[in-house]
Amino acid sequence: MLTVFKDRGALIRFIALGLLGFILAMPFVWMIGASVKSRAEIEAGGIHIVAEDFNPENYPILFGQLPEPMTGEKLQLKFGRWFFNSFFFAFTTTLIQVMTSALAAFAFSRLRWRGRDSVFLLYLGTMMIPGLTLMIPNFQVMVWLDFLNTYHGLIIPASFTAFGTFLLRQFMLGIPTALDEAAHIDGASNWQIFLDVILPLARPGIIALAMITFLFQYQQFFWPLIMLNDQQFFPLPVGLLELDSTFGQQTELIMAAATITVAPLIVLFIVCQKFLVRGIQLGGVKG
Amino acid sequence: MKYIFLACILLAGAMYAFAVGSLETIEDPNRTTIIWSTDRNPARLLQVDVFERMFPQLHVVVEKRDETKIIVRCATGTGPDVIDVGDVFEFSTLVEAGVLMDLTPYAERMGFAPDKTYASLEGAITYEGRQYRFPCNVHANAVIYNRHILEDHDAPMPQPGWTWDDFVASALAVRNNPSKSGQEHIPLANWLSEWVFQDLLISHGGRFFSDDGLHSALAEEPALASMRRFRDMALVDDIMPTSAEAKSLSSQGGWGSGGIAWFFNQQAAYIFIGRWGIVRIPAYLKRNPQLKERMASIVMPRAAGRPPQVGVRTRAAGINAKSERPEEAMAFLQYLASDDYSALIVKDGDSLPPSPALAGSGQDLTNDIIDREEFHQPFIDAARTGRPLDVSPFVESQIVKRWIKEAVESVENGADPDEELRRTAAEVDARIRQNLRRRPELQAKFEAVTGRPYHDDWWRPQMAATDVSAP
Repeated sequence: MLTVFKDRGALIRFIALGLLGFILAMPFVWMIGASVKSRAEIEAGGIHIVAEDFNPENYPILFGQLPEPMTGEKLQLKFGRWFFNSFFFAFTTTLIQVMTSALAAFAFSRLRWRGRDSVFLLYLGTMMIPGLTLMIPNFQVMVWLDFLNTYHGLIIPASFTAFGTFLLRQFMLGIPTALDEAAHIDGASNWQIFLDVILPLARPGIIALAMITFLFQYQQFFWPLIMLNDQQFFPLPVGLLELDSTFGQQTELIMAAATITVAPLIVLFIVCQKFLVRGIQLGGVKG
Repeated sequence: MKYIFLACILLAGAMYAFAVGSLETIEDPNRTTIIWSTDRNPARLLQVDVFERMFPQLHVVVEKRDETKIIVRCATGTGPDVIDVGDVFEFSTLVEAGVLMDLTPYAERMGFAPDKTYASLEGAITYEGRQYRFPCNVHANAVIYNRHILEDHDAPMPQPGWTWDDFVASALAVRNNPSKSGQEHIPLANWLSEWVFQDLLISHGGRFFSDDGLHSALAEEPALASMRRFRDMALVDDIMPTSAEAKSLSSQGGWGSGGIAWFFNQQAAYIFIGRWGIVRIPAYLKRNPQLKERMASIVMPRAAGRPPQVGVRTRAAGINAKSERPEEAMAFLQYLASDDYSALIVKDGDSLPPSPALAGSGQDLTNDIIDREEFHQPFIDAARTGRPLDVSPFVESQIVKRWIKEAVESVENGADPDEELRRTAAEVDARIRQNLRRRPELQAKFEAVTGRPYHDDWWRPQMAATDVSAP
């Protein structure tokens, strides 16, 4: 065994990390196992991962294709709609956030203007304010704008972020200024420099920001919970609450719904993890 | 890169167009819509249907109740019209926050005054003498037990007038006596430890606060005796799982679904529950066809030397003080006070109806789920003789609720019951003093309650007296 590892320390690290990985993976594994169990099996208790009574019907039940076994009626949930909403919110806010952050980052990193650094510090200062303290003022603004129970009520407030600006500014600072100067000499405007020079070169940073934003927005819970009352607008995390009713928690259905909810995130993470790591590293670099 | 952005913008635009274009209209343009914030329960659909037949000009949209956001929404004028409010802690919080409309001026005229429901509930629908809500249902816990399991373990059957000692003896027999069937059973399906403690407290004659609301009564003997009994049941006699054990055993839901499931799956001998528990029975009959015949009920055990008494609770509807349709919302409360509505509750078994006239005896409550009148009678008796939990206007009820819950959990984890309750009482008292120091409106209330002028050291003589008498 030791021949595989360089030394005893490497073996111990491998075992420790393997154990940690196992512990971290267990909730997900249990979630998937529970999503194909029957209610009776879950309520009977006991810790077993693999379903004894394999019940894949939980998935069609969620989408209203089959009746719920306890009541014999089809669930009146808009699960498909919630899935669409989650993807739509995450995609749209990511798109707008990347665009606004890239423009702001360009202004803070490539353009010279009076008070630039002070404004940037103020911008960064907003990151120090805990989000929950802004919840009620933000909600009041949404009420004034009549944005409750609307798609734009969720998308617009999430479209501007100091974090995204900071992250892309760090990235753009690493692009040599000689490229801008050369473009200027060739007669390019600032807009052209942004679109044709900086933006393509900042692609890794943009992808990292897009990944981070998408993952975060896809899981948004509290703001949609506050803003939305109409089921038609719910994203998945808020919609899952509908499975916790007076008649008890429908655990097997919640687990099936959670599995469907996290599946795209896991795929996205696996495909794009190098960009994510890069993004996290960028966010931690002093500018 | 810019073409990728352009493609993404077009895709987002297309998705937005689809999202907005496929929305359904939930409001009826020909009728006034009122929004009822309540729990998610299929029975609400039928209840709304009957209301709309009674008031054809009104349309009700049911919205899932969420305590997290109700205050924010109501404060900003975007809340629902009719709000279901659960326990007295939430109730007093919403009243103090100005969320609920004072119904006193309208209640008598519109037929939903406190005298239209159980007298024992008055303290749960009024606050400082003003009415703010009317019951959607009324519930007081009784004991439902499984006769088959008790026989299986040769455990004594509950008898009228039984005490907590009798209950523990029977539950211990379930735990200790080997069963004839060879199956193991949980003696008591504890699905909400806080409620077990609250019922023990009331049963022992305890309270949360002194009559004037200026002191916690949790350090007094009835409360201490209740918490000791609770500790013994959970840890010494080991006849009920603690909250943590319950959570680890199964899918304990927000409304105690795990514990309730144990009982209706015939894994537990006893459960303390309101009549609403029977709503779940049909879902379990397929797997437990003899369940109905095996179940019986009885009033909760009494403390030695005291009559049986438990907490009487209600899910009751109030009206958003900022509702733009208060008249229409009040029509909904009129409906809740009607016999038509109460008849629905009798039929579906969702606790007791708001109107006591429709629950005069167990016979009145027989329904498709349980047709034995003796099964329903204990719930009526419990509601008639019960009393609501008390709150104090001088301290935030939700904080007190949290502290008491923490005390219960600490005791479940081995803390000394007396120490825990004395510590909680001291915390509550300190909070009351702090609130009084900081809030002039509470000082005015203090003067109204005590008849003497407020000063920051008002509590000192009382504290001295407590210190002298403390063991």
